[in-house]
Amino acid sequence: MTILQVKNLSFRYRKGFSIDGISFSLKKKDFLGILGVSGSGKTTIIRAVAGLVTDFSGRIFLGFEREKLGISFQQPSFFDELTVKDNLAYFSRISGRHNRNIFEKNYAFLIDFLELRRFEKRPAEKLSGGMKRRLDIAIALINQPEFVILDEPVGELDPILRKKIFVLIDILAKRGCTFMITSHILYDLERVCNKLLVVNDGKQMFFGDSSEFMDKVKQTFKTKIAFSSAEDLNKMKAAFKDSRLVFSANTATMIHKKDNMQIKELFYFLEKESIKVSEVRVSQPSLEDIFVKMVSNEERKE
Amino acid sequence: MRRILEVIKKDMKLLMRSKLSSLLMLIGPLLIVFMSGVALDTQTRFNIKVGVFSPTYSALSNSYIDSLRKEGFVVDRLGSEQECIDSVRMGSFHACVVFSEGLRVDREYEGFINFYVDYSQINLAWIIKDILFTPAEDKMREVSKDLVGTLLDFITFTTTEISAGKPIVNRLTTINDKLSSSLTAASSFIDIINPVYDFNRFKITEFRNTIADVKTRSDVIALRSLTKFQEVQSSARNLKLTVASLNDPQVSSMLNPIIDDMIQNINSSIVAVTSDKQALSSSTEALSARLSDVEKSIAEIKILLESIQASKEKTLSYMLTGKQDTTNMLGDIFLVQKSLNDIERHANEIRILSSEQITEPFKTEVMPVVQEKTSMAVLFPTMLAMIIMFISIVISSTLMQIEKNSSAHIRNLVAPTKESVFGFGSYLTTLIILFVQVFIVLAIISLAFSSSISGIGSFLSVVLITFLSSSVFIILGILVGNILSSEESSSTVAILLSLFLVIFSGIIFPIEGFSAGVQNVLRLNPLNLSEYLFRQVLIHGSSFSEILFQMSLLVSWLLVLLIVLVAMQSFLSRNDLGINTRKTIRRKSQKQEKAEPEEYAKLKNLIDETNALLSPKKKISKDELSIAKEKYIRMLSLYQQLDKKSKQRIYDDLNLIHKKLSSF
Repeated sequence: MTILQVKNLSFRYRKGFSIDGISFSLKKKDFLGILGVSGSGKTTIIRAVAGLVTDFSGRIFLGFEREKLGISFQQPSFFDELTVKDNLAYFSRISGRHNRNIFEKNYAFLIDFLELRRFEKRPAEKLSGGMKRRLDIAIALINQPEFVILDEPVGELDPILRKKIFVLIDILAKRGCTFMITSHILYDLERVCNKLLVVNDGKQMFFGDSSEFMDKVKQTFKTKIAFSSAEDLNKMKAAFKDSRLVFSANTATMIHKKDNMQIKELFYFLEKESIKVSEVRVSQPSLEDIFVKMVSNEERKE
Repeated sequence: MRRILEVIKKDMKLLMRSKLSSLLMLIGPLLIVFMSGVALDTQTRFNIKVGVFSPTYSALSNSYIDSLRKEGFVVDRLGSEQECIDSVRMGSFHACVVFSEGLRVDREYEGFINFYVDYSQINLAWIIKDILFTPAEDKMREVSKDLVGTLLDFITFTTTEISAGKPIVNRLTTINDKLSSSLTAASSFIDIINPVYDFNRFKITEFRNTIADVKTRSDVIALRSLTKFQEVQSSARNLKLTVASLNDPQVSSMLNPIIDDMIQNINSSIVAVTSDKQALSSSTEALSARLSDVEKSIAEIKILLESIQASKEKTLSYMLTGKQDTTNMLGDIFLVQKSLNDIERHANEIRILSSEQITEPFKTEVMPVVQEKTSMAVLFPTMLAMIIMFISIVISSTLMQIEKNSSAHIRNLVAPTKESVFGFGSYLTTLIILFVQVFIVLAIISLAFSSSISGIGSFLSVVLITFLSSSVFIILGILVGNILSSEESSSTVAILLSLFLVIFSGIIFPIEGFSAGVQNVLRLNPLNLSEYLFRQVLIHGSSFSEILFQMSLLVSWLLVLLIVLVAMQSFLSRNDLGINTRKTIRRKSQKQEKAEPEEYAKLKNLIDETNALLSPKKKISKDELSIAKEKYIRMLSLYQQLDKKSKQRIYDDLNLIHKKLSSF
């Protein structure tokens, strides 16, 4: 059953940034990962789905009651002056779904799972960044939502806690919860998301199964060449300045499909100019590489 | 309801975040009221310092200074008028009183008492002026009373004298009349007097001749008498001799005595005649002398008569003049009489004969509308209204800012709770805090200063006024908090707004000091209304019906501000994150449509899948076509289950599928 459907979502901020033509749909228990660089429009999409922006064009269909939405924003959102417990109690009660017994149960579970028990009586402002993030997530999950939006949920967490969060997400997903999550840590998205939405500069680059996206990854290669001298590097830069080569300190990298012509040209040039290289590595690009390439429009040029 | 309670609980916790600040916020107003009560729970007058100066102090000026001291003023004599004025300017003294040199009440003297007050101390100037003037007025009244008393005494004396004098004047009139009559009569009598006499009638000459003749004849007579007597005597003697010769003792004894007696008698007669003659002669001489005297007298009488005549004429003349004068005098007497009557009449028309009544024809006394109150009692309603105002505006605007600037704000926007719940919760939070404070204040006042405030019995009225005024100011604070974006600016504006309300409320400067048009506006100031209502209830014990109008004004304020608040919220623009504020979000989020019915979603999916199968880019196999057709049949089944609106929406897509399938 479709739990969320977004059709041609477009929105323009006063300051000029906009998202345009975003369309995707989610079924129950789907786990959507939204991928994009900072300022690409991820948060805007989340806000539109959450109902925080309303002057958009397009349509958004919600297959759930608003009371059953749990949301954790990129910036932790709670009352600094209230304690952990007070914050959870407050947001539970104003959600309109508060049930004391359920709350007590959920509270106990989340507090312990997220290792906040020791700090439950501490004012939120006195928590560390990681604790704040956990509290924010706990607030999102306190009322057993059916649809959860997590905006950069694990950014400030250590790997262990990060893993714990995803375990929690897993547990909830198994209970029938649908997730929409943004993260810069593509590895995490890769692990948990079954759907992927890639946005760049407000435009939708990709939406579909993450496996489909990974298939794309598999069809591409990443070639990395390390140069011995700066002079040689500069020669390469001069010769391939309009190419898709990405130059860094002493390397040149390109992600390409098999039998890419430009790679052939590159090796030909190396040989012709007798440029000395210290290393040549050809590997399978990571999701991040694919993503970087995608957003730098290399895929389009191909 | 539960959500509202949650919001209230949350707001309370937010406000009490710092124990010190929450303590100050709660206890502060209570402390202010309590300390004010302790300081002001007295009826003693203000400790006013007055500087006085006079080039020469007189009894009157000293008397005034003494009366000032008796009133409780601290009075110091200064060296010069300028020093006195400067002392007021610099604040060393509250007022300066300058007396003219040798102040006194005198016909030829024009004295003055000048008061110098610093009107920049508005709150004190009026009081000082009023308080200082009172002894001066009393003193002037006292002096006036004395002067008037003197005048009245004089009038009374005059009236008495007039009353006493009128009969005299009347008598004068009578006397004048009499005098005139007397003069007339006297004139007529005098006129009768005719001091003319014909003295020839006395015939003095003839009388003298007669006297002479008488003397002559008397002499002749005397002579003849004497002669006769002598003859007789001689005869007698001869007789005696004869008798003797008779030598008759008997005859002698009988005749001799007789003859002796006769001789004696004759001798006596002779003597008598002689003496008579002499006497007669003397008498005639005397008579002549008298006659001469008479002549003299006649001469004198003549002179006298002439002078009498002259006097008569003069007298008549004078009498005539006198009569004219009496006539004139009568006219003057009448005038005097008239004047006296007029004076008496006018004096009697003066009904008020009391100097007190003249100097003070109307008793003016400032009577308290209620029994004399302590300063605390007088100030308490104002203080209460101001506390409510300040606390309401500051707390509500602060709560708005806390809410807006909190990181939880965005979560509140997402929560399925109406924006009005949050706003109402904040409103109730502030209201509860205020009510708690007000009731504690009232309790303290009634326990500690119960003699001061008598209107606490009007509990319901106090509650209602507190509710209305708090609500008005809370909404003002909410407006401030909503409009401004930072806590600092919100606090600043809240304080400025409060100051504005205080300055234009009549608390610092009387509203009556403004122009008439401005006054009408200022009377609508909610702080002014609250202060008025509290004063009416707490001091005057007014009933609800007596304050209904002002209450209704507050209610109007409340409604207007609510409308403004609602309107403002509708027009609030998005913030920089593009997030619409609460209410518009809540309302507009209805754009986020409810999910399509499950059948619709399924149908859509089928359509998408079928479209994918029937994509023109690729060649369609038989199996795919068959699958597409099966899907189409399921689509039709699902289509039948949709409502009309959903059918309309999906029809075109379904029709397209049909056409595509028909083409194969």
